[in-house]
Amino acid sequence: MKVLVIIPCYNEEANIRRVVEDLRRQAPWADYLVVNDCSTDASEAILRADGCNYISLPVNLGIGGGVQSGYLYAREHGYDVTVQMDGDGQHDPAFLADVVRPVADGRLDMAVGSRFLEKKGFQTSFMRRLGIHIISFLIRLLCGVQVLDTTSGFRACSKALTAYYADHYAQDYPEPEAIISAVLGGFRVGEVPVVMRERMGGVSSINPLKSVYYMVKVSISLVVFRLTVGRGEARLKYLNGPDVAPKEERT
Amino acid sequence: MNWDSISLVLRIGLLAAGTGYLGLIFWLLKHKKLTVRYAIIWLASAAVLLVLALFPYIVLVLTDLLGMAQPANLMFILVIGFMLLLLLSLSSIVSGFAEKIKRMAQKQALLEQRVRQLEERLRAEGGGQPPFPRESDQN
Repeated sequence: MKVLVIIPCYNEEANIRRVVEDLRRQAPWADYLVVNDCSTDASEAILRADGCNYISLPVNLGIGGGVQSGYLYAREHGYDVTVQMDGDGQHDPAFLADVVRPVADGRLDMAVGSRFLEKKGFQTSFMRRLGIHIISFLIRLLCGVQVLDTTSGFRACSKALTAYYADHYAQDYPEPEAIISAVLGGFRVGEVPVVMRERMGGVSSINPLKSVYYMVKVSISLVVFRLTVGRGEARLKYLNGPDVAPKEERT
Repeated sequence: MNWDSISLVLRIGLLAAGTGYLGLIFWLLKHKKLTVRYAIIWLASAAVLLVLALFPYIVLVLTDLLGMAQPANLMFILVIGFMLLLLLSLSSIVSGFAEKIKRMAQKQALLEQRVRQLEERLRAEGGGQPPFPRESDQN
């Protein structure tokens, strides 16, 4: 069972070394790939000096395009399970096995690490929690699946879903939209309880005003997404055969 | 509708402006600052404008047929509608480009990682000598 942990990294010079060390110590059985999304700080220099396994995007693609390059890498190298884990230290690698297990056992195609299932650890601000719950309600309304921690970037994906994400991955608000697109594609999505920490250092890219704005934009984009995408058989297509292999873009 | 509603000076002005517009499109095409693929719609718009400047009677008839108060209203509606469609198509073209750029950046990053690992392995085998010296090997 080959497991790859994708760590998106944008200007995380304060955290990235500790995040990678933490992961290698607590989960030596997993491979990892840091996706440096054209950071403007010393992130890349640190990654190079430490001899980390990383890719460096030539232009800033944002979280969606960055994570998707990780899925492309995972597909190219034939990983069985792909896990996303933030580069700011919020996600504790001690829970990696918990997130991977349901996917490795074949019970789920995507296991989302949720801080709300057992309500332990860092629960984030009231405004953000409210936003996350509204998005959760919206997702349930749009595709009938309950996911509590909709913006959690700690999630494990099966081989078929990895191949699907390598081809199709939301760019602007990837976390909630990826859930809907997986459910609509027939993939099985579920949650496992994890404990999250507050980011170790550096500054979060989200503040209260931004999170309200984010909420509105996410809601609109989710509704529009649902209106334009129907339920399909993507899972069956990606589950067996040639579609799992790298596919060239057609234009 | 009477013919005097469009003065000779205005007609000459419109013709000159239309010709200048057409000339500008051809100039851009000639200097490869516009590809034929995206020029067709602009050439068509210039052609329509010239035809209407040559035969303003068409506008007057259409205005009457559609029950509009002023010929100018018809022209505004035509031009605004045309621009809306054009802007929409530009947004769609830009979205296509964004997707292509994203794909290229991702593939480039994956290739760069492969090359980097290959170079490191070659360097280790070749006793520390960089196989393909580059600027970045200096620091």
